[in-house]
Amino acid sequence: MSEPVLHVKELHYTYSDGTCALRGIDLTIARGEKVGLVGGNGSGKSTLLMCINGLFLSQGTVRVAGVELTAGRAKEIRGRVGLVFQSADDQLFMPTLADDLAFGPINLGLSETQAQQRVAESAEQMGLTELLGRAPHHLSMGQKRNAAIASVLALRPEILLMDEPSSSLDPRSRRRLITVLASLNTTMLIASHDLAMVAALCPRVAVIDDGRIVANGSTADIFRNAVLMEKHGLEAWPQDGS
Amino acid sequence: MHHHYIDRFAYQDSPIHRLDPRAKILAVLAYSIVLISLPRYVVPSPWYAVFPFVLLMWGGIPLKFVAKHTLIVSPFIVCVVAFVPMFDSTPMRLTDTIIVQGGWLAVVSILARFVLGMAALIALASTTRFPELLKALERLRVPSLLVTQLRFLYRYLFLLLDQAMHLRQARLVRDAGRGPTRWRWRAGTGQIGVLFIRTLEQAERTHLAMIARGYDGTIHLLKPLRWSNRDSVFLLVTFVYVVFIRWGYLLEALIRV
Repeated sequence: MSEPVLHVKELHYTYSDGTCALRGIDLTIARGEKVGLVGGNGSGKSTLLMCINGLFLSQGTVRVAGVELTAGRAKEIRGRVGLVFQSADDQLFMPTLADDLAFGPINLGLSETQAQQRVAESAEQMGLTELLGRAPHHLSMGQKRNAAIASVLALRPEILLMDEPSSSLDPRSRRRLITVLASLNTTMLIASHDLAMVAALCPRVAVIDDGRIVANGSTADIFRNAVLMEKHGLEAWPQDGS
Repeated sequence: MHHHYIDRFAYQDSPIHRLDPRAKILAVLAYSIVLISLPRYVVPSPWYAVFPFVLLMWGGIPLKFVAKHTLIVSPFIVCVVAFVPMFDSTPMRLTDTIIVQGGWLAVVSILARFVLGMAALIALASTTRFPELLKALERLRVPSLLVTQLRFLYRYLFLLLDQAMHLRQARLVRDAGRGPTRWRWRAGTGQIGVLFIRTLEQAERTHLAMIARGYDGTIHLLKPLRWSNRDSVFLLVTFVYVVFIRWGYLLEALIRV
């Protein structure tokens, strides 16, 4: 196994209303690896992604490319960890797509020329070059999703965290998204209910339930284990006849 | 959901669309100041219509669109001027034989200025993409807090409209129209409350998304605005025009002396 880019150990998080969302998560991801994170509703998938990005301050250890996440280094970590939110409308908040893609690079302290270069590159990666002058509300749902990913790719993150990237997409947009994500060399942690997408992209998968990683291993083996999947609010995949 | 976007004509291409937004803002500002500075009983001459008319025609903005949007806003101004004749009975001599009540003259003057001002503003908003308008305001040193608020309003207004429409549809599909009025009012106020909560939640999620990409309290933008000679000429011609239509009579008097 190559050098781990993400190392999470004994991660705990409790919301202010007392809901315990994470109960000792351990997870390691190697550079270049694409890992799926599956689990039922309320299992802790989104909370884990927020904690890795440093948006929620948790107990335990999160280390990204050797840098440990602390309150003082959260900004540095956010430059290394790109988080794509479940709703693209949450993520695209600037008046034009070009401004949105430039938001992260400029906040990283890059010059305007460097930021423009990043904008052009990430737009090209996601097939958005023609749409840079458009306002986000003039984009289709598929284009918004690609734009949200491009806005994070512009940061050149060491690891890309994605929360339900295929939700609200029609089959064609979903297929395009899978093709684009497969073509990226970036390390990824993809939280999703879309088992077919996870199977197509991620050789390894972690199953999360009630704030704990309950299984971690080969996607094919875990998805075929009907007992394990059903026990944790999921279904075996591929199902008989599919 | 489909909306009639406020800037739907702004994505066309025309000589007016290609002007720097700063030039257009300054020109419309100068024109508006001149309109406002007219004395109470002076009705703007037809020359005042030239500026908005030229912008609208060259910008390819349909007059029907301008008329529709002016009418939508008109109730506010009509309510304000409706009472003027009651409080202003000053006799005003129009010609040697015609004397009218000053209040009515003021009403005509205010309404004419309103129509002309609206036409100029619609021309500005319809020939300039809103994001560029915001960049221009920022470059013209309008407080960044205000510009940021406008930026988020523009971005999320349509999203909120979508949510409001979804809520309305969800109510209508279960409303056979036979329930008591009081119950309907209650449902309506409940919807407003839900919309308010969703707005707060949206703000919270957006804030997290901003922090995730390194937001530190200041929004930095790429600055593609470019000022050209064409913009200087447009602004100069507009300034000469507004000075002439407003204070041309003084020049005329000076020449006679």
